[in-house]
Amino acid sequence: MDSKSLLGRAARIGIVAGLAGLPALQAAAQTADFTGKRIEVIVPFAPGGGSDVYIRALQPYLEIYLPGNPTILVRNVPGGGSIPGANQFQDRAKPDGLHAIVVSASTVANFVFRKSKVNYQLDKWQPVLLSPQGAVVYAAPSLGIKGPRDLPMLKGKPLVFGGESATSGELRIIVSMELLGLDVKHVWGLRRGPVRLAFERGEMSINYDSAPGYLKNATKLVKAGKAVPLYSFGILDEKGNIVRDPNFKDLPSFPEAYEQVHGKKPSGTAYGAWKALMQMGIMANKALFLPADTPKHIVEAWRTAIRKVLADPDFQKYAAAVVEGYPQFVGEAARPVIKEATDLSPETWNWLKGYLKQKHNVTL
Amino acid sequence: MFSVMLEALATLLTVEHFLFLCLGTLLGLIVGILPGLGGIVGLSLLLPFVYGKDPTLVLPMMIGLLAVTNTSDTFPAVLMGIPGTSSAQATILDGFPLAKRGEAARALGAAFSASMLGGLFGALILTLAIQVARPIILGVGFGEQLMLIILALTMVGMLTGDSAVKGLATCGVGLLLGAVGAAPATGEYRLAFDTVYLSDGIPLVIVGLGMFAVPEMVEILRRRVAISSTAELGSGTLRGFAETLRHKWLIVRCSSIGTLIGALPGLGGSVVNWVAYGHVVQTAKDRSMLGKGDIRGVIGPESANNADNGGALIPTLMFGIPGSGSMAVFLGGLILIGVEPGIGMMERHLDLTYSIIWSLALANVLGTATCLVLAKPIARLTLVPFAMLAPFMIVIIYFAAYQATRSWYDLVALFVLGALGMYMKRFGWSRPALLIGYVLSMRLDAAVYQSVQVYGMSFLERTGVLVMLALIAVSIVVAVRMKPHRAPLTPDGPYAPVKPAPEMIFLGVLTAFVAYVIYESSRLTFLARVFPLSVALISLALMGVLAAAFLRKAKKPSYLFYDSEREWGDQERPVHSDLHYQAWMLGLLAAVGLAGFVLGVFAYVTVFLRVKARVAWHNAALAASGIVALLAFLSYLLVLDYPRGLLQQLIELPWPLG
Repeated sequence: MDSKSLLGRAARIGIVAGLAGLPALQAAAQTADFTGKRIEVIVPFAPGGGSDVYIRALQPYLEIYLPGNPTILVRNVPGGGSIPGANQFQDRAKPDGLHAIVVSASTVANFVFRKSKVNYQLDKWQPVLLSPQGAVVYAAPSLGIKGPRDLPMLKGKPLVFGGESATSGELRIIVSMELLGLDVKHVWGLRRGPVRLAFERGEMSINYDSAPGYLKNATKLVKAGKAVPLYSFGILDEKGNIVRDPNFKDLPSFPEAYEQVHGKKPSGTAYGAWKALMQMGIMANKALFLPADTPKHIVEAWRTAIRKVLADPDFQKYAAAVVEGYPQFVGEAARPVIKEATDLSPETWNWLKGYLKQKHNVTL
Repeated sequence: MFSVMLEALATLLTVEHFLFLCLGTLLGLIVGILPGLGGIVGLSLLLPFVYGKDPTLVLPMMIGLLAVTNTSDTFPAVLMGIPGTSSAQATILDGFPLAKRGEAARALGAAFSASMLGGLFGALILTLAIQVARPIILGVGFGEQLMLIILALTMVGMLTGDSAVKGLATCGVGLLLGAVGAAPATGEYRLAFDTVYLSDGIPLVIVGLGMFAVPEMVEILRRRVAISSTAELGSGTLRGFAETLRHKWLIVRCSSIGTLIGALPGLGGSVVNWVAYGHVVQTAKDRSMLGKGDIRGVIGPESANNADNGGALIPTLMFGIPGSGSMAVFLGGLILIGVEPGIGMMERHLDLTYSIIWSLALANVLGTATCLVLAKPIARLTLVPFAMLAPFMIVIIYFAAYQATRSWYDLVALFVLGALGMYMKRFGWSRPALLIGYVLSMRLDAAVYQSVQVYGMSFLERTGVLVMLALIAVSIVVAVRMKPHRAPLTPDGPYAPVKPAPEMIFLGVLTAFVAYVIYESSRLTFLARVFPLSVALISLALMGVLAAAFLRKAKKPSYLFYDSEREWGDQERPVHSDLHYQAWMLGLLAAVGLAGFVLGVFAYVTVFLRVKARVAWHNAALAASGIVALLAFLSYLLVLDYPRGLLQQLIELPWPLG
């Protein structure tokens, strides 16, 4: 089966699953009306990136389903790890339904890790939609591995991994490799694209991609015998268990991989830290928010609209690449995830601080 | 394959497809002309319209836009000394002096035709490359990338100006300015003064505007009535066109450089024009006019920066890896229309690939034709009294700077770097050397660390690295043996150490900056500090040589000394000093700080036209309303907001004033 139709179907299943558990709160939507209005959505990243494509895929459908068919404008405020854009939204956005923001995992991570520069209160904003996105770790076949089963063989082998920095989105990946006891040399200062090239050249031996990147490019490397998938991060189900990623059903999730290597289920502080990072990077990967004080009927109008968007067959056809078959969290359903992602326990903090200081000489 | 190629062309030439291509091209020309805007802004404007549309329609539109921003960005570069996009910086070096001589039309004619030939060359290479480029790109590892960066850095040797010591020290300052932001190896923030703004580094656009646009503008305000020193536009566009054809081999070489740098990982588009310019200087037999209005200095970078597009599309299409900011948006656009670039693109979308190539070629021809027609009329701007143009240019420069990150700090950064650029020009410190250092800094730092981290020292044994090392050696030898064309040393000219105080103060400021970097390095970890510290120590040594020359109280003129103020006797000196116009630059900042950008601009332009150009109040206000209308239009169309002032903090104002 080619990846596209698989995706389309997975997306539909995911959306339906996400919708099923939600209360119908449509009555309040009647009073909000955006006729003739311009809605401004801040994207705190440069055009063309993941968050930008995310909102642009939703944009035309939101215009159809928001009451009064408003015009939606995307305003990019790039730079500073999305802090300036999010700060600006916090300062200026009026709670009138005409201002919204898209955030990504790094907005969430900076909210947690770079408190001194952050003026925004992400955990107080009104969630409209939260879209998780999985990640897959793969390695070079030259290490003598053929499939996920061979993961234990990597123990003790010197591996090379490239990324942006130890505190960026790659933190979740390097912590997962640390927990597996892999011997990894890190090369920093590299964006995803150049890393993938370096992996193809053989300069990097272990790498990861988030779901869209993996499906678009890495699967072709796998097919050509140039990469071997090892494990996915998995996703959280409603009960808070980590289950296999719906896009990568045949790959072990991280806890399974851990068990495969260590012979026991993961537990303890280190695993708690990984789980927090997983909430941040996988579950809260992309989200759409309204300002904190937005009146209830306006918030509900947005949430109703987004439900209709997700159910629109046309959207499902074109925008599969955006939701990638993951369960979508609309409205209040997103709150617990956001809380888990932003509320780190003191033990988790200490473990992360210690790990970054010892292994990477980085002070949080 | 050949039939697919022709089919793609046939489709593109049907009315509807062709109209979309023209539309994209036209939009590209417009965003290219407006400084600060470029492919990124233009493409993001198109994104809402391309979503879910037929790829054969919207791909030509997106490519048409991308293809010509580097053609039309030449207008402000040649006519006003303002880089329209970052890839037009090197064009200013010779293009603007030509305009000042009244030969703007000739310079534009040459630039546009060179752009077109470069663009076509890039499209041709792209056609050939889609079959064979994969192994070549995969052959360029970290070691080879490092060597490429060093090779580009050796171009500084061609552009040090009158004094090699000063030129190299400036390059050092550029490398240090470029090191501001997160260290590649550790992510530690260097020289960021604990601000979010500087944690990303200083935006390239602002460095370019500060180094060229501001100093050139102030100089003309002080010294001249209009940009052009003659009242007629002299020889025209056609002559420029003919000259381009005469330098066909230069075009082939510079286009090759552009395509290669665009395609290979490691360098990127903002370096292309400088490497091409360095190459022009390297290979020129007669260098007497370079930097003073030599047509080759226009042809080289202009052919290279258009060829760059064809090159940059190679990794974008074949690997799904964008080579530049605008390619990243293009990639986003491809995702939205359901085209998956990357491995297997040629098998999946061969027809679309050819459609992209044809669009690239056709857009280059269309864009050039349009620009050539417009060249002569627009060149008349250089004859307009400059005091009438200046306020608008100042507004445009600040507008352009603000597009970098849309923060107030952008405006402040522009003012500071503009002042730096002015004094560098006045005291003979090479601004191109600073820019090359700045552009390459982070890349150099990262590449050294990454090569050593991956290979240890063994990367030096790779064949590709050895070949590049040989090229680097050749480039250095050429630089050392080059005899620069310098004005003779005279006891009362600019090189004489008469009244050296201003020059010494400026040297002191630069030295203090370097010393601060050394101090700041002490709190960083080894991997974050090794690069800036090494550069700072070398720069400090070079500045020490200069300081020693001053402190010896030398009486004889030397190329180490320079102050353009010494060119005048006491009688001929312009009425107003540098500081006077710096105050005017600051004036806009103050007006915006008080009343916000739109109202501030209105007041500023009105007052400037009244005081400096002696325009009647009501006409001045009318002209100012014009630019306010333009700002409002751009704000509406491109979803821009403008810097806010105190007034906006106090009261709520309606769009666009708020």
